[in-house]
Amino acid sequence: METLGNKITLNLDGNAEVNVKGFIAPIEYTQYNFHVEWDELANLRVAEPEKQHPASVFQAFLPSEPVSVGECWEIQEEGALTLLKQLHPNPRLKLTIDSGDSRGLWACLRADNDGLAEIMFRIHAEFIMECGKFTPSQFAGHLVIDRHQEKIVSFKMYVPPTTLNFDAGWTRDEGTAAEIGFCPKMELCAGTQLHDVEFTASITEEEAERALSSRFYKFQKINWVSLEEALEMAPAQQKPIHVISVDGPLFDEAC
Amino acid sequence: MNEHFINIWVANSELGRIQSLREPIAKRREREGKTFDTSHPLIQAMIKGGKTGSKKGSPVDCLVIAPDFALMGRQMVNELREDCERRGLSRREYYLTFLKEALEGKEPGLGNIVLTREHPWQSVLDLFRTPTVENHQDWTVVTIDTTPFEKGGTLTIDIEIGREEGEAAFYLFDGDRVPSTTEGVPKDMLTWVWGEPGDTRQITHRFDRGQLFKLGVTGLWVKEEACINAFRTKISVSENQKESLEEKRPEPNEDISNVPLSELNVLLDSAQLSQEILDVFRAPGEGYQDYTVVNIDATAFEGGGTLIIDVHVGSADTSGSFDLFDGNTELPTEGYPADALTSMWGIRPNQAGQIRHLFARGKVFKFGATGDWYGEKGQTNAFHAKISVEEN
Repeated sequence: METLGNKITLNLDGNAEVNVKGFIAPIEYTQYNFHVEWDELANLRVAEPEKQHPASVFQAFLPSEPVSVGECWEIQEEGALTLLKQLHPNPRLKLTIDSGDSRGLWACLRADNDGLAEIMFRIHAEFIMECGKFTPSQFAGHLVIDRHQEKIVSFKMYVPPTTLNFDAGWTRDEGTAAEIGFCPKMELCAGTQLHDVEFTASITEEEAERALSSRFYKFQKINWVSLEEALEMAPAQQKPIHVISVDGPLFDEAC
Repeated sequence: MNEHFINIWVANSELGRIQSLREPIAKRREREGKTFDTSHPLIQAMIKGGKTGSKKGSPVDCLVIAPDFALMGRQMVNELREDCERRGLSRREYYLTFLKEALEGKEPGLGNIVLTREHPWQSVLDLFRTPTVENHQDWTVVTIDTTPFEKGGTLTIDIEIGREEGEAAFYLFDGDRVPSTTEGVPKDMLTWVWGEPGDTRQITHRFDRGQLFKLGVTGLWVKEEACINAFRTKISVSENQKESLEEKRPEPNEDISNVPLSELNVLLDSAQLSQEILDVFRAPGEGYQDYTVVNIDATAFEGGGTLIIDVHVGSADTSGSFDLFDGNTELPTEGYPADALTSMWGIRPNQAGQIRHLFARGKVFKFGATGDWYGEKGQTNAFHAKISVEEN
């Protein structure tokens, strides 16, 4: 275990193995009922419910250089694809619909202490189906590493259960039709979730999420506030409200 | 953006603007014990913003809302490319212009009629309602932007009132005036006219330099049950010349027929090959039909011909469905109109469509107009139909 000022170097014992469980729940709703009419969507289930991965796969999530809390780095594609294949045999990191801000796999050191380091990450990927594609809003996640033993304490990669959390495209003779909907659970996890860990340096999860989101979307430079905050701020500051009303979420790939 | 605005984004699905997702999302919220309060003025302003303007519905709407939660502007992303081209601006320049105009009170995208030298007239097809309580007006407001006419001009509003029950008053106000819901006859109006069903009227008003106006339309007399009627206007400006402010009337009105509104029966013959009607249809609820019926007598065309019905749906919320039947058909009150000769369904607000039907010899038809099945039952909208025959 090395430290360089506030920076730390992270490594994993490449000989270890990690048991990863995968899960995809049936889709609960869609705008146009594709989750009923399109068999592939109706039967979307995890490819491998349980799999042993070498810890080296997770090395792709670690920075190649020493990093300090709050710093971001790119995740290596190969490791991410290996894990995504446990969910679906045909993942792709280059999205079909890409306005230039959809690409990438980023991680951020959220917190550390002498023994542990917590990394949060965000991956944009989609699954290529026989008759179209399925694009989750994002794969968010965290990875906690035991810095002394260089082992994974916990890992979770999941599609957040927001109101709408995927976009899909069903290709038929007449063309490709777009769909949006909600899948209650799509995740990979390993190890044990830790609670009440005291870190010596940390940023909040919201700050880490924002740091990651900023790597994808330029408009993250705008100070977006919640509805509740806007309700208080507008009359108090006598400022007009600029609203983007959009079918799906603004900050992910579900729309 | 951070300096001049408070910035938020909201999913249309949360606002209930995606109809097919309302129920599953409501069920999920109930299961998870979550609520989304749509009654707050800011949410109401967003919902109103989604319904306001010349066209409704876009996957992405950009809104500007005042600190007191009044709508100041709206830009639909679906219209962005066309709007940029129209004004010869890049997307970035155009969006900045939109934001500036919203802050200047020009209410961009809120249904304003923007008149320019290149486009000096526009039409509006909408509804008015008669009040049911004394001193409570239910206004339909059209904002008219004449600012491109810096040297002033004459604003002319040609008005046509639909054939349903309900007299209407048309008031012209300065643009910064908010028509009061509780005032009887507005004291600070610029000018006004009133009319009965089937009437045509005209408002003219001279102005010295370009400005915003508001045309406020309301039913005139209190009735126990609100009457809903259609109105159509052609709003135009003739520009003042440099040397003189002499009033110049606009070109003859090509858009509004001088023919009085027809009754329920339309009689066509060689002398009168077309007639126009202005009326109201009502959403019947899913699976039902609630027709406004127009009888079309084309028996004069013994050798047959082609019946052509050009329909334009008004700017209220409900989409329209239109069916043509034989004259002796009993119109259905529910289910698909299996006996219809031809149909045109789901014409959205402010959209137009055409029905064509070839007939071998003169006969009587019934033309039925109703709301589509996806509109809220009882909601109304105006429609204008030009019914004509091309003789064989």
